[in-house]
Parts: sequence; structure tokens; C-alpha cells
Amino acid sequence: MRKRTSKPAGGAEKIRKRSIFLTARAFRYYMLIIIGYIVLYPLLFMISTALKSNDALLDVTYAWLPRYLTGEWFSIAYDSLNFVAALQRTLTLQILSALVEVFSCAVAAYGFARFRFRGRSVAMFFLILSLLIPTSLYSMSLSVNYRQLDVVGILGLFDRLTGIDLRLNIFNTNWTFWLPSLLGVGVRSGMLIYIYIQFFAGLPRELEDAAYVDGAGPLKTFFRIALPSSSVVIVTVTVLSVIWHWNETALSSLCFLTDDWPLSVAMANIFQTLQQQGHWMGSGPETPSIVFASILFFVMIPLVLYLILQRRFIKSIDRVGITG
Amino acid sequence: MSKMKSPASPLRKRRRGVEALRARYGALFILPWSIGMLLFFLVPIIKSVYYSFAELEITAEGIASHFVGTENFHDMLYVDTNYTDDLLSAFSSLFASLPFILVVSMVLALLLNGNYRGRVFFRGLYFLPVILSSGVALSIFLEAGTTHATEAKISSAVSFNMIDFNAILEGLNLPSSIEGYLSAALNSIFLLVWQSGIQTVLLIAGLQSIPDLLYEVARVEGATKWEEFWFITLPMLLRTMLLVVVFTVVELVSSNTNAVVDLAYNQFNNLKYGSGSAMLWFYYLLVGVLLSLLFLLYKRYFEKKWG
Repeated sequence: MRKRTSKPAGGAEKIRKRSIFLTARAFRYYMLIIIGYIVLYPLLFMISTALKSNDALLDVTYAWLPRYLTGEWFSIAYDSLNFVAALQRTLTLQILSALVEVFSCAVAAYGFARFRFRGRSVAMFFLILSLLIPTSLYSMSLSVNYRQLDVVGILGLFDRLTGIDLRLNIFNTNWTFWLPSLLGVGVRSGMLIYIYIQFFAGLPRELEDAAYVDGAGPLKTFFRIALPSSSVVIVTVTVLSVIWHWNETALSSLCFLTDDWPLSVAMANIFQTLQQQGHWMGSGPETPSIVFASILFFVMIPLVLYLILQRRFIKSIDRVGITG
Repeated sequence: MSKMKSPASPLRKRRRGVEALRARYGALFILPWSIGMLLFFLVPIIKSVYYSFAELEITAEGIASHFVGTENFHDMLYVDTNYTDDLLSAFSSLFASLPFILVVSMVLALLLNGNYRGRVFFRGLYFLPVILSSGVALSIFLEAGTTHATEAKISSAVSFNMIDFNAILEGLNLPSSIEGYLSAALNSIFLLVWQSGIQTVLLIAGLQSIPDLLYEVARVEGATKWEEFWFITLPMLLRTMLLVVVFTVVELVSSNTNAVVDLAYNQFNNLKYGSGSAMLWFYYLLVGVLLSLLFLLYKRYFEKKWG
């Protein structure tokens, strides 16, 4: 592009410019490939190590492609993670709430982005606050709070006056994840709402105004106009929400008393599980292999989903413009 | 309102009616969220402030707590030495990794931005860490890698084995503390790249929001790429950088590999809810003070200079 617009230069000048351009491009690819190697390295390393049999692990002459392949570590990892049961738990507990959150956060964000009402700035302040305050600060008191759910002590007062305890105890039930997600305050919902707000604020108003003129109320406009034209941001939010829920460990280990762990908690406890099951060999060469095999099980599904959605996701992130 | 006899035309009146209606709907849209915030954010936070001044017991009927004043804080600061040690190490690791994450994500963003073949492919590749590492997988990987047989392999392969960073650093004759810091950072370069995923995405978005016009003017004036970077790209990215710093700090201080968070969660697991809360509050208040200082600096100095 620039070549055509610039003044016709002499031959030598042209060649010089061309060679600088080519060098810069070669340098970019060189760097991209090197850093790409750094990014992919752990993954390749894990796959290679997890497939190596005991003999191959000790054989230093074969660094990457193992001479003796084995599926043994994968089958041990599969058992230690209790894979099928844990996956079911993850799907019903975390992924379901992740998908619910994609919707409930859109509702809240639409309210923030499109309407001016009293108390909006106060609500906005708390939204930013929820972005800044680390969850680990209050996740413990949140899990204690689940035992006696109450709105500023009204129900507690009611209990004292009438003796009827209406305070819900949702501790140790799936509602510890479902209820916050339904209300749009689940795992990292602040970030999701923020992304939605940035997008809705940039959405042209004309369509919505036309809908109002045609007699559609705000609710109908939201469902029929705003939501269908937000597929770009919905891809971003869905991927982020699913990933964050998939990896969530703090709340899911604090809020349940059972050993019926979701995958993330099973993953976090893998060392203890291996020890209990007698696969712990101290610093023996196979311990990392088993651990790597279980990490591969853990990341497998998000990885495959990401590879399928990758193109759409990258484009959508480009267009959403998270920074604002 | 009607007594005021405003000269508003019927149309404007109706307009105001619509606005009022819409305002009500706006409140309706964020009503569930507000209830949720009250139940699952504000109440727990206020309770956790109280817990840090109390001692908790979980009984058959529920939770019993009694107020103990500043005992928890006193104990962790003066009696138990673990906390102050962990606090120091948490802050030093924060200060050590923050500049590197900033630089790495900046380099990545500059490399990935722009028009070239295979752009989507490389972007997809570089976003992989965000998918895989925002959680337990990375910390388990590191634990398996560093405490077991593979340690030597990982660090040598990550620094490529081709370049002996330590030898180069020795040749530079730097003070030993700086040398140690640099070699540690270079040897953990894969970790840094893996921690800079979301920051890179934010910076790319920031880069794309810089108007092309500025670069065109610079080119006409005969600026080099180097000057373009220092006088256009960097100043224009300042807001994004602030966001990135805040995001990185929040991420680093809340990750479960953080020494203080780890200690506090150990307290929780031993049912010492009070002292665990106190530890976290004290730590996050310090971080909050640091962040507000940074914000003030940004407002006072940078925004005036470039804003």
C-alpha cells in the first residue's frame, strides 16, 4: 500500500527498502515461532512424558519420541481422577452455571448499558469493586453464609419473632453454584458483565429505537433485538465463562462436604489421591508421568472445544474490544 | 409536577414519561443482579471483616462466633513468624514478576498485532495459555515438574539449552542480586509467557484502538519505528497499561500459588476462620494502598504529561 503512494524512488533505494521490509517480516516470524515453541512446550512435554514407559523414561537418548509407548499412566490417571463421575459433576455443577451466567450477565449488563436510573452509579461502583476484590478474600465467609442465607438480617429477625426459620441452607447442595449464577453474581461475573457493557454501549441504537416505535417494550426489545445481534460478544463471554468455571477450585472445595469432586478439585488433590492409592513413588521417574497424564485428561475437553471455536473466538475478541 | 405549569409541549411530556418508564425498566434489568450482589458479595465481605476480629466455631446449630478484638492481627504479626515471612515473599515475587509480565505481554502484543499471514493461527496459539493455565493445571504442572525428577529437564529445555543465560550474565559483570533476578526470570520465561495471555489480549485491543492517522503523520514527518513506539504507541497505550497492571496485580495476589493466600487457606482448612480472614484482609489492604498510590501517580504525573 505504502509503496504505491510514496514517490518513485531510485532503484537502489527501492531495493534497500524492500530488504528492510523483508528482514522485518522474517524477524517477526522468527520471534513468533520461537515464542510459539515456548507456549507449546509444556503441552508437548506432558504428552511425550505421559506416553513413555518406565524404560523409556530412563533412556536419555530419546528425548521426545519415546521408543516404548505405554498407556499405563493414562489408565492410572483415569482411575485416580475418577474421570467419568468427576466429569459429570463438573458438567452439572460448573458448566451448567457457566451457561446460565452467560445469560444472566447479559441481562444485568443491558440494564447498565442502555438505561439511566437512580442508583445506577452506586451499582456501577459495586460492579467495579467486585472486579477488584479478589474472591479468595470472601470465599470462606461466602461458604459459611450459604448455611444461613439471609437478606440483611430480615429473615433472622423474623425467626426470632415468630420462631419460623425461613433462612435457606444451601450449603453442600448444587444451589451454591446455581443460585449465584442465576442472579448473575457467580464466578468472575463482574468481568463478564463488564465485557457485555462495553459491547452493548457500542451497539447502534437505531434498531432498538425502531422496535420501541413499533410498540415493543424493553423486555421484548432485549430478547428480540439486542440479544440476537450480540452473537459476537456471546462467543467471547461463553468461552471465558466456561473456562473460568471449569478451572474453579476455591468455592467448589469449600462448599461441599462430599468426596464427589468435580474435575478441578480432583485435579488439585491429585497428589493426595495418588498417595492414598499407593501410586506414589516419591521421586521416582513415573510420578510426573501419571500427574501429566491426569493434567492432559483435565485440559482435554476445553482444549478440543477451543480448537473448534478458535477462529470465531479470536475474531470475536478482536471485535468486542475488551479494553473499552 | 403539574402545579409548576411548565411550558412543556405534550410531546416533551410524553417523552419524559417514556424516559421514566425506561428508567424503571433499567432498574428491573439489574434487580436480580443487585439482590445477588447483596447476598453473595456485600454480606460475605462485611462478615469476613467481622470474622477477622472474631473467633469462629462451627457447631451443630450453625456458626458461633465471639468477638476477640485485634487478637488475630496481633498473633499473626508478632507471635507467629510465618505470616510476616510469607508477606515479604509474596510482595517480592509480585514486584519481581510484574515488570516482566508487562514487558513480555507488550512484546507479544506488538508481534501479534498487524497484518501478516497466519495471523489468526498465531493468535489462537498464543491464547492457549489463557485456556489451559487459568487455574489448577499450571500449578500442578509446576509442582510435578519442580519437585520431581524432571526439574533439570524443564528448566534446561525452556531456556533452549542453546543459550547459556548464566554465562552471558556473568560476562556482563552485573551486581549479583540483579544477576540472580535476571537469570531466574530468564529461566522461568515459559512461566512468564504462560502468565501473560490475557494481558496480551488487552494490549492488542489497546493497540487496535490507536488511530492510524497518528502513524501516518509520524511517517510524513520522517519518524523511525523506534520513535513511533516511544512517542505514539506507548503514550496512547497508557490507559490500557494501567488496566493491565491492575488486572495482573489482582490475578497475582489472588492465585492459590501466592504464599499468603496459601497460608490463609491452610488456616481455613484447620477451621481457624478468624485468623485466616485477618491474614487476607491485612494483605489485601496493603495491596489496595499500593494500587491507589499507583493510580494517584498515574493521575498526577502521566495523565498531565500525555493525557
